[in-house]
Amino acid sequence: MDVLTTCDLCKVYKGQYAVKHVSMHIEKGDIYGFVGENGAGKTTLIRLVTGLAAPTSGSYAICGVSNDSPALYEVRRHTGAIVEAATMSRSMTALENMKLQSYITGVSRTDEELIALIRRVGLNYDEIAKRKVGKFSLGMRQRLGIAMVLVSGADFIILDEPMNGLDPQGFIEVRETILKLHSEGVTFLISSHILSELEKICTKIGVISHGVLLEEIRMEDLHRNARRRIIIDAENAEAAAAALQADGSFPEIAMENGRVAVYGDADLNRVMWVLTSQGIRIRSVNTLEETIEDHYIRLLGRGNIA
Amino acid sequence: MKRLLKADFYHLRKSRLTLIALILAVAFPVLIVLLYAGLDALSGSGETQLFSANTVIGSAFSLTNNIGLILPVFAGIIVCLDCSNGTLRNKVIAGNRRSAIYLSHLLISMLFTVVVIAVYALVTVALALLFFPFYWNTALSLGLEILYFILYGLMSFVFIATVSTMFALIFRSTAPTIILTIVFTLVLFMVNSILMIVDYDSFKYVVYFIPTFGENIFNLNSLSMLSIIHGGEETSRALIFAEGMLSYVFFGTLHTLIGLFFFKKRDLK
Repeated sequence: MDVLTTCDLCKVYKGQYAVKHVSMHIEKGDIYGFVGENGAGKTTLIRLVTGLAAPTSGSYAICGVSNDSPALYEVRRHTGAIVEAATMSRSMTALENMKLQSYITGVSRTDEELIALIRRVGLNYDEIAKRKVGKFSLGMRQRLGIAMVLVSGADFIILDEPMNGLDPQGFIEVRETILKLHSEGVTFLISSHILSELEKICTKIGVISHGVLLEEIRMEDLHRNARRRIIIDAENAEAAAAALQADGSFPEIAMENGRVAVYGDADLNRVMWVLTSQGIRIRSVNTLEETIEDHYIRLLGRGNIA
Repeated sequence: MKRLLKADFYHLRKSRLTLIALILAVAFPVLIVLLYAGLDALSGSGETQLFSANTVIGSAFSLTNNIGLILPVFAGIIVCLDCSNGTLRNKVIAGNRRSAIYLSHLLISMLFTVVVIAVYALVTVALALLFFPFYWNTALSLGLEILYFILYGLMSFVFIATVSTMFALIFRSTAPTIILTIVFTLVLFMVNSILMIVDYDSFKYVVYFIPTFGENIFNLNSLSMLSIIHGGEETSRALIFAEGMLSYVFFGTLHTLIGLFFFKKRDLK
């Protein structure tokens, strides 16, 4: 079952497309990583599906309920989102903010239940009980934001750049919170440009650039199709590339930062034999798998050409 | 709607601004009455007092004086807090209709105004009656006379609360809300005064629908003004109050509809 689907969704600001004909699908149980450069349209799309902005054209549906249906208001009660930054009253304590959120969502919670939610996201309630949220670190506020989202019992959570401004410890804490909630059945849409972090948690990614969704791919497919490459650091890189090219056994050879990259399922022994037989001295050889970052860069390159 | 009212009331209760506004509601009348009493003493007019309780109470409920300028600003800031905290966004994300969000803010803003003005009125009237004599202009009892006075003042403040809520939810920023609310109040007051002075007869019915009209009647505290309005007939304050209320309801509804239109139309950041 799709938790979120968008169909030809568009948003135009001052004659320019911020989101252009985006059709995406998030299934129940997914951690969907929404990847794109700054200004690619990630936040705009999130603002559209959270109801903060109205689409110029196209439609979307949350749990099968279309954006023009009055029933969507009810569905939204079980959806949580942190858009750009966790929003809360800084002059209130964590528990007071949680109470406020329970009133906003209309879900009645006892203080004990709210405190349990605060603890669930890894915050030490005893330490922060009397502290105003304004004195929290960014990571603590992000985690409290997630706890506030959970007040309504949300089973679909949208996080826009949740790692922004966090220190390495904050990264780990937020990541662990997401994985813990995912294991409890929560579906996530997470936008980020920190690809290495997304790679650790996502089950599916969608790549957006200049408002256009370039690709949606499951992580297992990404890994299955990941291109392996052999990186050769030779004393004379140009001569090494020419020798490999002349051999004709390698379909794709490229130069990367002064080193030779051999793509595809190239036989490492064959590569070594070709180079040594030509008298080319080799400093180092590495075999690398394509990461989400490599895939993204390759895709963006393709997107730009198109 | 009920859940939003609970949320907004909780927010209001937890806000320091509420406490500050209540402190001002007590401090202002104390300072004003002391000022009038001081001026009275300095005038050295002996047995005859320079000011009456009517003057003190009348000036206390002006939209262009002390609390009249500050209270609408506070009401606007309280609504804007929801925007600056981002809790407004949380409400939309949690599936609340924008019209319900707007109306909840409006009601809370009105409630805040009523509570602060009630405290302010009680302290003002008590101190004014304690320090100065009250002169009857009508056949009404003292209590009823003062009650109409306060109710009319309350209506004008509640009306301005609808205006500041409108600005707050259209601009969702404190500075424009404060500036526009003050400018709006002053312009309204000026237009009203000019119309009354320039050609009262021609604008008689237009003036009726200018919200500060009623306030002027009571502040001027003039029976002749009442008789001019009603073609020389003696008119009860209850009728004036009812007619004035019509004006406030009309303009309050108009501003609410304008505010709702823009608030529903605009994207939230």
